Amino acid sequence: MKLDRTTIPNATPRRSRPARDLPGRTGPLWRCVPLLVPLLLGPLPSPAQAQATPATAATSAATTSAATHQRSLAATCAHCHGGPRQAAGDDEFPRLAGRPAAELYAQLLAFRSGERRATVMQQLAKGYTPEQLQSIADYFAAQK
Amino acid sequence: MKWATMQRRRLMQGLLGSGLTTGLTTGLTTSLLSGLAGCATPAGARPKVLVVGGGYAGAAAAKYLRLWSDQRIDVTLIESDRAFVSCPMSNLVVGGQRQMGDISHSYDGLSQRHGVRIVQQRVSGIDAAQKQLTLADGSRLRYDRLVLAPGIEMMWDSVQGLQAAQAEGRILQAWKAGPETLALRRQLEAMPDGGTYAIVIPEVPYRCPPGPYERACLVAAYFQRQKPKSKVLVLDANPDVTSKPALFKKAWAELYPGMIEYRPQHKALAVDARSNTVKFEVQDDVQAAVLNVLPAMRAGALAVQAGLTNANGRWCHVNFLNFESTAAPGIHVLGDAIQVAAGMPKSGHMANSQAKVAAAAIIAELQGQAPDPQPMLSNTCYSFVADQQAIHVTSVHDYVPAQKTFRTVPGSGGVSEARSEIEARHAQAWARNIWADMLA
Repeated sequence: MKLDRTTIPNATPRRSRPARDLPGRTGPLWRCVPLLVPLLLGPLPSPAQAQATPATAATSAATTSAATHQRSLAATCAHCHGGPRQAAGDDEFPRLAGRPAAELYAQLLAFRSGERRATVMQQLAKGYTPEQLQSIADYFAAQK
Repeated sequence: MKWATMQRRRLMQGLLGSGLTTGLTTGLTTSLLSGLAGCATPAGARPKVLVVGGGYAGAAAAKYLRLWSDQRIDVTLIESDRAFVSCPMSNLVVGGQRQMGDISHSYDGLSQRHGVRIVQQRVSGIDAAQKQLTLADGSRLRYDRLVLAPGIEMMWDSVQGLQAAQAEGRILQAWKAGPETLALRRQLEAMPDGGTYAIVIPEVPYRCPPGPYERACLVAAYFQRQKPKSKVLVLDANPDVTSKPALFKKAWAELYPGMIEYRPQHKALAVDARSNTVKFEVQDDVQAAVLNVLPAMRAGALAVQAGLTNANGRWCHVNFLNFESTAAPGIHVLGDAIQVAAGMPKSGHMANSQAKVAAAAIIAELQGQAPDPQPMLSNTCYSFVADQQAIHVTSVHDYVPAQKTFRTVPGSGGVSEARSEIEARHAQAWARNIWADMLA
């Protein structure tokens, strides 16, 4: 059987959840997102890429390394929630790409504290620090 | 094109950065980088990564090497089978709940969407010094990095008579999903009601710790439907159920009372295919209508031949930052073949996690950069305990620099509170999604 759209359901319409406490794009984490986006999303041309500040070589390597780490962190979610350029999303597991970072972060923190319980997520979220969860939330929010 | 210019600049910066910050720019790295950086460089000069084995680790590695390098690395996947057949979910085929088509998938997505070159062949030899592979047809492929995801091979000598019994099709393993999965299913279908199916489990470590116990459940579910007088015997070399013990035992007692019998400390030494009997180290012989004997396992034959099994002669020690073999530079080993860190299961999900860490590291290294110093891995394994009920185990692993290994993050992970129908749906969704993550 060929693995295609007939066997992997395309993104189903998600319940839109009220975005709570959407941050203004002023905090330090938000500031770094536009710079990271082109490095994270692979080959998708992005206007932000063209505006990337020509940095020194060492800074560039450090930025790439931080972006790579963030991308790899988020990749530990992709098995179930879909990876880059992939029309993931399933009746059972919500698609994360493009959802507001604040919403994702709040949910992940709630899983981590045990306030929100599911089957596996309250166990998996405890494997990450709040900073790592924020980084993961930022990554998925920046994806289309 | 502006984008290409930016990419080139970024890669050039990576090159410069590596020289300035790490001093690791060897002659080889320099040549690879010039291949990565130069737009006008002919395609033949791009770094070449060969991936051998198209399972959970190898297919994911091939995809993510292409995706995360912006297609700037040539990736060839060498796999002897025409299609991917999933071990996870294959117990549903053994139990008759699913068909082979449900667990089989083409590699077309990797080639068509990601530009992975697929070569359907066996590898006959690895020349690590020359960085070359020889294929069964005699052709040779050069590589800059080699990724081996050879899975496991059976250690036939550990159970006398088993290899011959397997070759005759009498006593099967079905521990690599494929034709044998269906052959075992046929044996169960042919078994008269009132017969016994026995699964014999080797000492840890083996591929998929919960797999044998899940199979016992799904065969019992089939017997309940079709052959209610039949029995399932679980004969385990280990002192107890090796994964999710409380959940499995509860399911056996509550869902299959009197049908599934568990016997620990049954280490198989020999089989007699004519009488369908297993002989054990200590315990009495067991005869069964359908015998499913799993011998001890080790890294796939290719890893053994290449001299990479430097852990007890069975598994491959790797550097956990990039999954490079500690026996051969430039060769990365992934999946069930490696010597695992504590708490790291030999599972499909874990293999996929490892592949992503390795892919990111290989791309970084080919650009002259150090791999991510803080890689993380996750794992979730679902097991069906009935047609519509499943349980899970999860874990998260982070790298500990001082010990140069992964550990399970304290407080993370766990198992199901109880078996449920929700988790059975999640198990199906997990399969759909991870297959997409590695193949689509």
